[in-house]
Amino acid sequence: MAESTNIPLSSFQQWMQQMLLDPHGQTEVDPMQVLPGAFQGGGLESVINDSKRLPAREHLAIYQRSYIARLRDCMAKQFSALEYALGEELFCGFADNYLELYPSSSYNLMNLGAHFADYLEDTRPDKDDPLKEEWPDFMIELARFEYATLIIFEEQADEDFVLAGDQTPEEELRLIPVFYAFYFQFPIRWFYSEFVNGNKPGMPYAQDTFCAVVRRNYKLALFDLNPGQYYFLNYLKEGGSVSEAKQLLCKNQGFDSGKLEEVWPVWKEKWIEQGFFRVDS
Amino acid sequence: MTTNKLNLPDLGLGLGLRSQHFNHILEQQPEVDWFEVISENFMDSFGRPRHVLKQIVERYPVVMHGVSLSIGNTDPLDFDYLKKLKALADEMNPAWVSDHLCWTGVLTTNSHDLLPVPLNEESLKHVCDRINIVQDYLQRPLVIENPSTYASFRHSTIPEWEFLSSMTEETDCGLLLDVNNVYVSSFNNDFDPVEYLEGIPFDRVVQMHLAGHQNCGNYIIDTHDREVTKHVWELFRLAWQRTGGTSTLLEWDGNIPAFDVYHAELLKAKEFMSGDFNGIKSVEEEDQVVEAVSNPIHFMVSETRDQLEV
Repeated sequence: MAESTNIPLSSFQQWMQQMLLDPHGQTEVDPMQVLPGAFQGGGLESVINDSKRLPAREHLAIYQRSYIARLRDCMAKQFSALEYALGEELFCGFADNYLELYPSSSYNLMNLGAHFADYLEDTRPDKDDPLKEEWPDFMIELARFEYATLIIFEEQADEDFVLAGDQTPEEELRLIPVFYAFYFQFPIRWFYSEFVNGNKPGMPYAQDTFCAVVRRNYKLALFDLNPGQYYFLNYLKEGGSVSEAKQLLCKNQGFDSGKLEEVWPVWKEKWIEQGFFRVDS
Repeated sequence: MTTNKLNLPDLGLGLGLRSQHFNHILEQQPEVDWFEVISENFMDSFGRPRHVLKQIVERYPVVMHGVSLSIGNTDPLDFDYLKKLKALADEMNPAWVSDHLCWTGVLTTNSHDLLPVPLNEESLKHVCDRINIVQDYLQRPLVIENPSTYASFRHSTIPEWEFLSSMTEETDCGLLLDVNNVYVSSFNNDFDPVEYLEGIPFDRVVQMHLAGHQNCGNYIIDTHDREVTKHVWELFRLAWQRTGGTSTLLEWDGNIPAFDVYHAELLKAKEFMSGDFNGIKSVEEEDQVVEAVSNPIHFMVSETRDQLEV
């Protein structure tokens, strides 16, 4: 191979990375500036060889196209329901812009979409308008929920527990280790489940909804809740006993204690059947 | 049996472990010699993927294959990453740990690509220094794979096969020879793949990779999404003869087929190993105009929806 002026490895890598992150030169950063003086003013042809079939620019373009396409694919997989809701073209536009503003800094691909919901919130088209449209709220909420399911799926937790049964004393009922209760301004659980089941849900109207996400035997399950159940289960999640959660529900949420004693056996039976509870050991 | 200087075993014919096949493998216990797992899929996973892997290692030999070590990177080595890699290796006891001759990003950015290293004296010393540090830290030999490349650099002064040879000599690391990558890189960068193989120190090769690629006319993309082509099988045959027998794995990361289809493609290797390949139906190169993505990684995103009761 022909001898040529050397480029220090660190300079080369900064140059190539900038060429990948900003393929159209839209930022003020001139990647050639990180190269030695002899390369200043030269084109990428001073770094990359032409081949028999392709000019140097096309060789680099393979890396440039794959960089964004590869990460866009991952975003689409992490936010598949959101991609459906937005439509592929609009989702790609958001994903590309997000990846430009938040280039990955982690080897762990699970972290790729960590800021996507915040990004959608920060860049919503009606951000500065006093009257907000509904659809951005729905998309942001859906994005937060989809990402949350990824984290819950991979969470470190004890799965070696004994599920509670009909005969488990009430004072021994504890929520299973991976349990989350969500509040939404839209029917997110319904929309997500419809999508996962292969249906084609339309964007729903705003409506307060609540759901539980549980992981048992490493699989996730979703269940609808009503507002009282949501608060009650969150009190249990904070570590309280059933009797403490009942007291907090009445004290903090104004729930009628008599009504609670009526519905509690129904809740308890259903939640034991759905595997919400383990036996306290 | 072993024929390499590292005394690492010939595991036979293996497949990449993909989440789409978890249930099939656990339920059917297919007769596969071994599995290769993507290290990063399990290092931070404490859910079902890691739970499944623990069951797989009880039944099958496993090798850990990484994509984020970034051995050619000029950022400092990521010891947080190495700590988790070592913890996984200590838990799963793989036959070996491998990664690529590449860099993935600098100044804390990660491109999630296997980017090419200019091959010269500076990069050789840099890569060797880092391999030595990693081997000391992991307390086991590292196995380095030749990447598929789509560009060559004017300041490269060492052919890749000579670089790999010097690298193994300096560090005592092993080689993972990806014959599909050899073919892809040779097509894209105008070198002779047979000359490449002749320059490889085969006593350092502890594993080979096979994979499918997409010919885009005037360049080839390493897509890992289809059957192995005729040219790659031919290179495999040549390389196999030189190794005297080494662990061989088929990668399939996009358009992942049913397990039996994947396994059947791997088993074609037996005919090429025996030299009796005239009756084997192998795929001819076909130019395609569809834009392809190199080094696909979307298969590494957890299949949350497939494990959901709704």
